[in-house]
Amino acid sequence: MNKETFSEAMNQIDDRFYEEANSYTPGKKNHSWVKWCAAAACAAVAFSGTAVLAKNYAFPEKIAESMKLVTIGTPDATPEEQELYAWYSQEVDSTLELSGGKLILDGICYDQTYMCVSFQFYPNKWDLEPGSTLSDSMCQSLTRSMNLRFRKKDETAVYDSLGGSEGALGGLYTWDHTVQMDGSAKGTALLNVSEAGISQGDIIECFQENPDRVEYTRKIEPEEDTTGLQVVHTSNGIFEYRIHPSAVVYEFTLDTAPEVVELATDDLNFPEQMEVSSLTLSSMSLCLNGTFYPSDERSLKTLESWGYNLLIDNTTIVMKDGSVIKRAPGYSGAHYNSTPEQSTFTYQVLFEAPFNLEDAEYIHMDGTSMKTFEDFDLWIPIHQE
Amino acid sequence: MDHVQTIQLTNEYGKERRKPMDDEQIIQLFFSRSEQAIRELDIKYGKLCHSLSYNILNSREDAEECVNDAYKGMWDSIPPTRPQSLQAYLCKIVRNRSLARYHRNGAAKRNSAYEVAMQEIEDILPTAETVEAEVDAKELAEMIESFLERLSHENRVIFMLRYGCSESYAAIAKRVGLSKKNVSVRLTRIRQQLKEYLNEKEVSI
Repeated sequence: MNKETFSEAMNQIDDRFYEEANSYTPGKKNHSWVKWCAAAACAAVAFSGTAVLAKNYAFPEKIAESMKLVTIGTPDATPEEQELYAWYSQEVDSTLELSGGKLILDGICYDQTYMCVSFQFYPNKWDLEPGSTLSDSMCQSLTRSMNLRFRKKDETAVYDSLGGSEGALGGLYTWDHTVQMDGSAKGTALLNVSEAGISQGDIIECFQENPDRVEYTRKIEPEEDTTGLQVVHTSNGIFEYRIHPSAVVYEFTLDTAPEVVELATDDLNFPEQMEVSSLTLSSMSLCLNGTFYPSDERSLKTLESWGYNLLIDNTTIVMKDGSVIKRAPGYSGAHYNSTPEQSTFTYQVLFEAPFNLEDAEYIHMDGTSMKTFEDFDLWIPIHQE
Repeated sequence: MDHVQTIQLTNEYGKERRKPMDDEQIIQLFFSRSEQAIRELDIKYGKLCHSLSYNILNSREDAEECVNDAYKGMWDSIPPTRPQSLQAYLCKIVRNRSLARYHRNGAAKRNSAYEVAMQEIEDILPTAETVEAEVDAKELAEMIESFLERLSHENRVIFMLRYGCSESYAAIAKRVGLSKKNVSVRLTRIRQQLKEYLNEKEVSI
């Protein structure tokens, strides 16, 4: 009789909670809060209580703005997009003191392929003038000074947002080039998490290298525990390890299960060179796995020369009302593990805006200008029988 | 003051449009044993009470009877009681009467917002198999109060409207100025937080 006890308990709780609920009047929400004048922003910072309220209200906007930054390079997001991103994102209310400054994590949003972390950064080396414009080189400096990386707990793989150090998986920082009214820089870390296969309940660690670290390389004994050590493959071919003392500065648990559907692929007419093993779709991205069999020397050569960006020219979502959601430029591609005979691939697409899966009708794929295989035009129904 | 008379008063004065009286003045009317107290109560809180009762009973007839019963309960208890919050005191009585009717009605008539809300919450309540101590409603009420203190103002209101007043997502969304979907997301997270909180306390219900 659990619920009866709970119901009875609800009847016994203090009157003030009922009074508060029944007399509640919502404050006026301002969706374009980032466009507040300087005075209003200063006032919000000055009165911390107000700032806390603004933060609660701003969470969906911040996630939507972050995703907009990475998908089409602008923080403007519609209320509908804010709602959709809010649906499968989670607030991460944390302030981290990093070596390069103060970092406030606002929220995360993830699905089977990508994880987006929204943040504001207050560097301690520079005073950013509110309203001024950040150059690309300044954004790179900010990225370096943050020196923050991510990894799934108990996984050695590092999701590197700095780009390209040893052993790191894909990630990228994107910055809003306009300095915020409180002197912070706003940005997004977009991480490719498909290899780790993250899901609800997983713990993601944020860690940074110790700026006062002592670096050295040495050989590791065969039985030695290498947890926390970074592998370095030296030029003479001997594996050694470099000690990079690092500290976990924050961790969060993924508490919002992303909505992901797996579509049947048996009856789909992909080009004959492609054997598709799985196709998953979320409100944010698509992931196609399979094997590619180069049918001739030309296609193999094309595959080798074009590396990670190949296969399909256009992947769009066609909604039931006829509108189309395009892929986000620059965040689509495939990873290969090739031999002359075959190549396993993972093709991923981040869409430029979220959409409601229930309102989506088709995945439309066509191509290919790369001439890896014959042109094709494929319409995949999302709601299959 | 009998039951039928109360219904007539509600119908006669329920549509009156003027600024509602202050709670303290209404309480004063009760203390002076003026039936105007019931009229004023109905003008000010009638809609709220009917909505609360209907959410539990899913029947307008039953809800109206329960609200009238609650008015009578107010009449009988004030004085000597002088509630600190007239609204909360009234809501509790309405809720109690409605729940009593709900349990009397039996399963056949149950398909209310209250039923749905309780099913939601049942899923996260710890069971005796997973925890050590069983608590009674009073202890649980104290824990819920402590839990509510941890929530943001807005989330606290959403929780109370859903599980205290059995309001639908759509109604809550309208009240707090959020989308229905947003309310649903918030409630999911609040329930999860409550689950963790109760597990921390190692209690079962």
